[in-house]
Amino acid sequence: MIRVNNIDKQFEKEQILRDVTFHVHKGSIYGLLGSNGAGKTTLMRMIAGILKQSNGTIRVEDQNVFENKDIKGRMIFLPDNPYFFAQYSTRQMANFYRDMYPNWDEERYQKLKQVFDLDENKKLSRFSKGMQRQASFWISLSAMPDVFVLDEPFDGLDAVMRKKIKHLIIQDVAEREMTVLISSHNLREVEDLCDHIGILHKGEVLMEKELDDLKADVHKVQVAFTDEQPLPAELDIVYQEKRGSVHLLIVRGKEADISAIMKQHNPVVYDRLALTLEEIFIYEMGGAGYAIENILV
Amino acid sequence: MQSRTSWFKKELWKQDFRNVGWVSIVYFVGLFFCLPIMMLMRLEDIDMYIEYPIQEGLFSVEFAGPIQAIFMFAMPILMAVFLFRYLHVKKAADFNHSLPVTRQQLFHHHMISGIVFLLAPVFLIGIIQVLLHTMFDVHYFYGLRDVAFWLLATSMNVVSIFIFSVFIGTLTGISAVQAVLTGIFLVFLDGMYVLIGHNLDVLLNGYAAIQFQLDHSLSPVINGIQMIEEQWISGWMMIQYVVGMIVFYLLALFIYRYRHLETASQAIAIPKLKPLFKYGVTFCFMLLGGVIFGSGVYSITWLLFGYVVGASIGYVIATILLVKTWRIFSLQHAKGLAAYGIVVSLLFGLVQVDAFSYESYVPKQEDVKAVYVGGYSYIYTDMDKELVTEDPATIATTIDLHEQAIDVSSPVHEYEHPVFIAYHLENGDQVYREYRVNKEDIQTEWEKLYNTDGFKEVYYNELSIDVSDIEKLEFEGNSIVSFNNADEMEQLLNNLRKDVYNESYNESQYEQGVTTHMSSVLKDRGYYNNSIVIKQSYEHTINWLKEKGYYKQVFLHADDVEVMKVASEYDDPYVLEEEGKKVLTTKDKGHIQEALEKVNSVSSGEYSVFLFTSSNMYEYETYSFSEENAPDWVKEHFE
Repeated sequence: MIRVNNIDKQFEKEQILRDVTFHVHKGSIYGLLGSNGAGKTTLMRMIAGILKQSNGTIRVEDQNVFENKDIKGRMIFLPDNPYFFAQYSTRQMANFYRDMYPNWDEERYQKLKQVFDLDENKKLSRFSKGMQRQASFWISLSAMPDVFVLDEPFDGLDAVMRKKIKHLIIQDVAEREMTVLISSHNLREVEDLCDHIGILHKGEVLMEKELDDLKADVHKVQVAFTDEQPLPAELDIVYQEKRGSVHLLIVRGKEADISAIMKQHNPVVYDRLALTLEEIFIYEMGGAGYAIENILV
Repeated sequence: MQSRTSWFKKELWKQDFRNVGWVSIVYFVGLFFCLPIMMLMRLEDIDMYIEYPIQEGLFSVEFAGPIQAIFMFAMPILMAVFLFRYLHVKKAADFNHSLPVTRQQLFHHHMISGIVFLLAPVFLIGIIQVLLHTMFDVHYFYGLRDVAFWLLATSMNVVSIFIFSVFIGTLTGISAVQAVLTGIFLVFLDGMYVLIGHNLDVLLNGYAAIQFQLDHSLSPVINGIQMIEEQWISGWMMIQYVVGMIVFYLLALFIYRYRHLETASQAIAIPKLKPLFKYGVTFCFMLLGGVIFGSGVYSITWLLFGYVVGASIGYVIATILLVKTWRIFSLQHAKGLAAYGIVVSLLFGLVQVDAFSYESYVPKQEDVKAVYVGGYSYIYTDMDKELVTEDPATIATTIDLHEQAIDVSSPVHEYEHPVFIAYHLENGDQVYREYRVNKEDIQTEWEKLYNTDGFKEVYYNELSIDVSDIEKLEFEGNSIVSFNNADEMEQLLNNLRKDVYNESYNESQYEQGVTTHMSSVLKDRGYYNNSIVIKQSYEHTINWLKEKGYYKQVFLHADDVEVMKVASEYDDPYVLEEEGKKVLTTKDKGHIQEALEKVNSVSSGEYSVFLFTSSNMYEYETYSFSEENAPDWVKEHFE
């Protein structure tokens, strides 16, 4: 659905993005993680057709986005700081969207009114930051985008509203295969929502994973052997630690395979422990991990 | 569904109205007060306008023309700034360009709304003026033709300035810079002409100002004002405006489509224009510094000081604008200024060593077809026909004078005596030179030149006018006397020519006895540039006047003088008397007659002579007595 290939972006001698490639499938929710200044916003503005890349291609449904009315009519970009015309109310803004976006669904708009509970005739500039963000979700979702690009979307929202909105997004993804790209500097904020994660660091994509795969492929085990025998060489050990005679290992591979290998060596103790997504990232990233820790806080 | 995919977006339009509708309304209210309200107010004094109908149409002072002009230039700039403000604010730029509309479409949309919002108040007022014209008898104020011209001129100016301001807006990322730059660029070309001209004037010896002068202003503001003052637009001017509008519209569109939106809030949005902007501003400020410190002081040191200070200030301002901080004291910026300094010094050096052979150039006699030589260039330029002589003697002496002037003049010194030379070369080129010299330094050459017939042909060009073109010749002596008989005019001019052509330089510097002035009034263009002084020494002319019996009418006579006052210094005679200075007052006809024969021109004498021609004590002519010409009774009085 979204295919970003070998994107470079420089502006005034400054390299902002370097050879960025990633793909987002139709109906999936992709989390783009990165610390401040990683280039997330620039990347999203390019995907939304606002900025033009220096090199590479950005294609949505196999079409270039830049200056493409059709694609942009089915895509909504929600910036980290929502923008409204001066002195506009939610209703006026909605009218504007209705005129601009061909798939606007007035019924949906009326329905969502109950979810958000905002006064649609009050000027948006008088709303609090959180209310403004709610209003922008309200209007954006009523435009029924096929592609929804969100830059740090949950800032300023309380936990209840966060949940509600996440639910709305998941619903749209499930019901009509909306494709979602979310940027965030915080993994925890999006881990319950995303099915794919990409990490952007200093303008480059460090890694890209499907979350389910990730969880299935990395395991934390506790193992102890009777004698001082070395750990089985067949294991793909990402991280190890020894407490007394007990080894604490993070191992990559299928769970069944790991168990089979361990059993062969007759361990005294063999337990599988729960592994958080954070730990997976830290261990997966290895040397680059220090940079990634920021995202995982 | 149709409306949703159509090109025209109602809500985009609505948004424009909510955003800039106020500009439209302010313009309408402003014009409403300037035109209909003003007119209704003046209907009260209709009698006055029946007697003196307004000639200047709807831009006249009665309709607050000057205020209209301010609106005419300010409103389109305001409109352009506010309409395209979204380009300069990052959030707004992002939002507008994430919408499913192409940049081209957005641009056209805003352009059309801008033009419509600007023209709506203008046409509304136009309609009101037409209605008023049908309701009241207001033809003393304006006619329907005036309304049509008003509509045309206002729309043309407003729309062209709007388009131009939008064009500037696409070049910059800051709205304030857009407004200021629009203002600057509207008078930029004229200003550059003035700045460059002034600087060449102090840099190049012999530089003639007319080489770098505009026949027509290139500024839309000055053209616009001229248009409404003259109540006329030429077809050619209209074509220029229309072409200009189209060109800037397309340029703006082109830049808009390709500009990077990241440049919102940067002074210059097109990276390639940044050095041009930086060094352009530096250059302009340098020239300005040269004008401020270089003219009037006559010192090359101060001129250079002006350049250095001007360029530095310009460079600092431009850099501050570009990097948006005043803390620009870095090596990189210093290097930029240094590089500029080196390039300009080289250029300056080239001019100083006359690398282009401008200062040393003197044409060869055989290359010159004709020549004009005189004091100020305006006499040459103001003439309808070419005021030159082909007299070889004049050409030769002019070249001598030119060579001498090169040696004795310098562009930066205080000498005030101007010399202007225009060569028309055989190859069709024209070469102009202007010098300021010390008169004594060119005295010999000037005298030689003066004694050539060709010089007098040019200098006394009014004597060579064909009599059939002259309506009358006027003398301002005793009273105004005029001749309009062709034969008499012919004879008079012939005699004058003889006298003038015979007069040597030394004779020309001296006059004795009362003089009179003769001016020519031409059939097609009224008074001729300057008048000619008729002296008592002009034998042929004086004899002819006496013969025809006109002498007493054109010259002051003892009987015409009521009172004569003589003072030993020059000032207003009443001031002299009030200050208690010794003033000789006499009504003695014998003394007066003697004075009439002996007086010299006002500047040359020791004693000032005031001849009061009537009982009106403010009507007098001033002469003087030189020491040797002063009668004994004058000398005795002041002993």
